[in-house]
Amino acid sequence: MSEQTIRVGIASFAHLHAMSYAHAVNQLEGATLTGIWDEDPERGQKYAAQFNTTFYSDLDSLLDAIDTVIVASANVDHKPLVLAAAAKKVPVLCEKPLATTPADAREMIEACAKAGVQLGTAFPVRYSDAVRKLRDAVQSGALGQTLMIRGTNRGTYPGGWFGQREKSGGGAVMDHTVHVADIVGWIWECDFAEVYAEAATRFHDTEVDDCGMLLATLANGVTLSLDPSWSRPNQSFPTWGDVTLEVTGTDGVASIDVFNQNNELFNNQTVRAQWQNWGDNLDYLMIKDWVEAIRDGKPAPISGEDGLRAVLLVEAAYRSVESHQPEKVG
Amino acid sequence: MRFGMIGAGGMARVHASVLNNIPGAEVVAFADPQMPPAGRELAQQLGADILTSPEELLARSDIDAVVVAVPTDLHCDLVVQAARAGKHVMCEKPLARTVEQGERMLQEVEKAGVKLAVGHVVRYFPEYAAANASVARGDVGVPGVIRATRGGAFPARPGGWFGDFARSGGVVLDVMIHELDWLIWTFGAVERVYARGLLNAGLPNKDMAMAVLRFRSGAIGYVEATWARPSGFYTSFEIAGSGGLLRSNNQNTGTLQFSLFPNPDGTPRPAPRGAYLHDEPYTVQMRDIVRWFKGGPEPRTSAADGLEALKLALAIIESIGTGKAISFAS
Ligand SMILES: NC(=O)c1ccc[n+]([C@@H]2O[C@H](COP(=O)([O-])OP(=O)(O)OC[C@H]3O[C@@H](n4cnc5c(N)ncnc54)[C@H](O)[C@@H]3O)[C@@H](O)[C@H]2O)c1
Repeated sequence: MSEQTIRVGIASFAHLHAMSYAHAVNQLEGATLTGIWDEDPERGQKYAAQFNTTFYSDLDSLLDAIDTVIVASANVDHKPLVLAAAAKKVPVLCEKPLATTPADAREMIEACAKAGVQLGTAFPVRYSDAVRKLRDAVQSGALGQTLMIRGTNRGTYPGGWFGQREKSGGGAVMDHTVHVADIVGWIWECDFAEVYAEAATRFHDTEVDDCGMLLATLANGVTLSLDPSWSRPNQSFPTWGDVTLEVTGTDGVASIDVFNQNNELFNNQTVRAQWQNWGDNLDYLMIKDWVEAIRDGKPAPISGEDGLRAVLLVEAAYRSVESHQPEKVG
Repeated sequence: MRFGMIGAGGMARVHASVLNNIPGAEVVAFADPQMPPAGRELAQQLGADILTSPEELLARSDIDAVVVAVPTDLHCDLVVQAARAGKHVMCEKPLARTVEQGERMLQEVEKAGVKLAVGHVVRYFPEYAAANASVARGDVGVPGVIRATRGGAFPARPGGWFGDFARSGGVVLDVMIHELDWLIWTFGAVERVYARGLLNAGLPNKDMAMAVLRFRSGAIGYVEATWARPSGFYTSFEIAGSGGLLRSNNQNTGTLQFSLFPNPDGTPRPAPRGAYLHDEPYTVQMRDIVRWFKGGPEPRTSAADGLEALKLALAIIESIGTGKAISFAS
């Protein structure tokens, strides 16, 4: 069984993380990138050529030819693609956010459960050594009892469909709440109870929110502040963004800055300074873990339920943006 | 100009040392019912009288102005007494413990025809002053998301008044108010606030708070203050706007760091004093205040500004207590 080569497909390159996932599959021993489907055939053909694989114009034909599929479409297309994979009994790793509404996420979870296939959510930040060591420290009680947590996942504006509500389901709050929500939920093994949120469009000509601020309460009573804004200047910021967490506990404080392992480059040909990250390739570690789980018939390393937890927080945050008061999560 | 110091604690000593170096100003007396040894020592060094009663100090006709640097709940009484005695007053921040007290202080100084300055010294810290000017110049375009954090170890003092919420107002009124004053100064009035904190967590000598602000301009703010760190003093801010990002973090701005071999007997060698600025902020602030008392222009912060920051801080405390967002009438 463990000798078997896992045949991987990618459904849609609408989300550019697909590039990184395709690279990872091509790097992995014991996995092969069997094919790509894309709703935009031109884009699909282009990436099929780039990654040395086959373009499938028919999704079901791709699903028939593979052991697992990675969905990297625009947010609202996650659901139909995951349901199509479930119908063909193909385990599916879905880009975050799992869905744009809790109802959609639940439908996806149920369909995969009924089909008996794994549903995973792409939360690569869990594979950061800093995040893992922080989890160990928190769970071993090294910080005492956790009191408050500050989180950020700030970024540049991704543009394209991210700025179109009917494709994205929302803006910065939709896109950038979920990574920090997931690592917090994972480290403290806890769901969210309540959230207050502000959101606005302050930076870009876009129909969705491009910035926001959340103050969430976990079911264990701990407060999390979370900045999901696309507030890094696209033309001049030296990197795409950040994931940071600072934990204040009764016995001390721990801070992580997941993408802080950089060399700084100043080059007269470019306007901006550049941070060249030399840290672990988290996408690679995530894809490797996923492929091994599929090969060994193990549960999804990061599940659909994990994805749902973050979606629930996003949905409540948008309710709070409307009501101007904290809202219950779920 | 002859100054009397009301209080001889930590801040009174800072201000007395500063005044001693300002041409045309001198410290002639300290009044503190619990005269701390360090206060006595400094008074002797400066050749100032050592008194136990503020009334006695205020009765002296050779004193033109006073510095009120006593626990926050006593600001109002002592400022009012000083005004009635015809002295100009420099009062430490926060202006007062309650809005009613603050309003009364403004009325009394007006009635007495004396001047009241409030020690919102952050407007004199160069990184914050420069950021204010930078925003006014449009360096970041239209501000969208503003973050600011401040804090460190709990200030353990004789009598423990900082830990008594009824006296100090906790970390929000004592620490966060620094940011609040700077934020209002730089970004204008606040429309709505929601906050969470450790006020009612029953943790002796620990407090922390996180607040989300919505400015009338539409910008979103996040402010955090802590007394839950084991040591050190941390400040940071960032201003993301339509045209750029401006940020500062006091952990990255050191100009002089030591790494020393231990003493020959193996004991650690204490680090020499670090470098900072030629004109440190408390000096620049006091120079402005002395000049104003002598008929010059008003300092950067007015007593009315102090009252605005106080109102916002108390709304944040209210939000922490009620779990509700608080909106301000326009
Ligand atoms: N601007 C800043 O950076 C800054 C920093 C720290 C504190 N503060 C503010 O300064 C004020 C004083 O704080 P601190 O750190 O100096 O506290 P502290 O405890 O060191 O000193 C307070 C002093 O006031 C004395 N006192 C009490 N009642 C008195 C009375 N009726 N008359 C005269 N003296 C009296 C106490 O005996 C004590 O010596 C507070 O309002 C605090 O919020 C400002």
